[in-house]
Amino acid sequence: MSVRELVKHLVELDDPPVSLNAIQQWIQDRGFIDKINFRPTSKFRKLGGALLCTRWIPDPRPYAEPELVADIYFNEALPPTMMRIVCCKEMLHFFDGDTERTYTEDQVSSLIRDWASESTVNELLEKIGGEIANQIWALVVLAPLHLVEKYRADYESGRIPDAEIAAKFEIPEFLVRLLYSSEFKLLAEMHLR
Amino acid sequence: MREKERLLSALFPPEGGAELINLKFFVLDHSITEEELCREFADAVEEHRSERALKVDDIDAYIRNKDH
Repeated sequence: MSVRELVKHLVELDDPPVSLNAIQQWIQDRGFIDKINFRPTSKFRKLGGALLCTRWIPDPRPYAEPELVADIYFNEALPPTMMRIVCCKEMLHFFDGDTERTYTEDQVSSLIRDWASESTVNELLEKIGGEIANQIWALVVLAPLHLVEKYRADYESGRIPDAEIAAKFEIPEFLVRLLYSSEFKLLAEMHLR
Repeated sequence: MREKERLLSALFPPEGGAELINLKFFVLDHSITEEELCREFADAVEEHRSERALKVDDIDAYIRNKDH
């Protein structure tokens, strides 16, 4: 089970926007996680993004079964459409394989050190590139290809402007051009195969 | 490094209990230092230990309300 199955499931949608609650429910129903807590915070001042902590709780309540619980901390000052991107992006980490996870003190420590260490320009571009790639993953989910195609003729002829597409999908306006690029189409098609 | 120790202790409390399975983060400001990164994460995790901290059950509704 992977992001691909989620993308295929979204083909059933007739209209945007894609609901984050529906993604959450789909992921929970398939046992990837028992509970997701979305936690808006004012503490991300400079950082600006989100933090995901997935935990195994052996004794959540008396007589209750152990639970896999995720806390998604996100910046409460982000624009709403960007909140959708970061919350969606963090939920996609529930599909991470064992080797992609960070769970020991040493791994967490290295992850933070590597991020914040003084970087060469190339390393910095690589980091930023990785972040953009992660946003594109979220976009593939929040803007299913069949719904993007539904408006393509009107968008490309200029009858529907970027702002209207952004409003329909509830995504940041700066991502609309990417949505209608040939690269995005190829990427989205890859997930439907 | 004080902030890093504070973050690690918030993520791996000495009393045990919940076990971390995966940690990921998303950074918008690429000029952030290690100290700043750790401070903001530690502050957020500590803030939400309180029962009074806002926990959103309906994320669509929360974001929709922010939009207005």
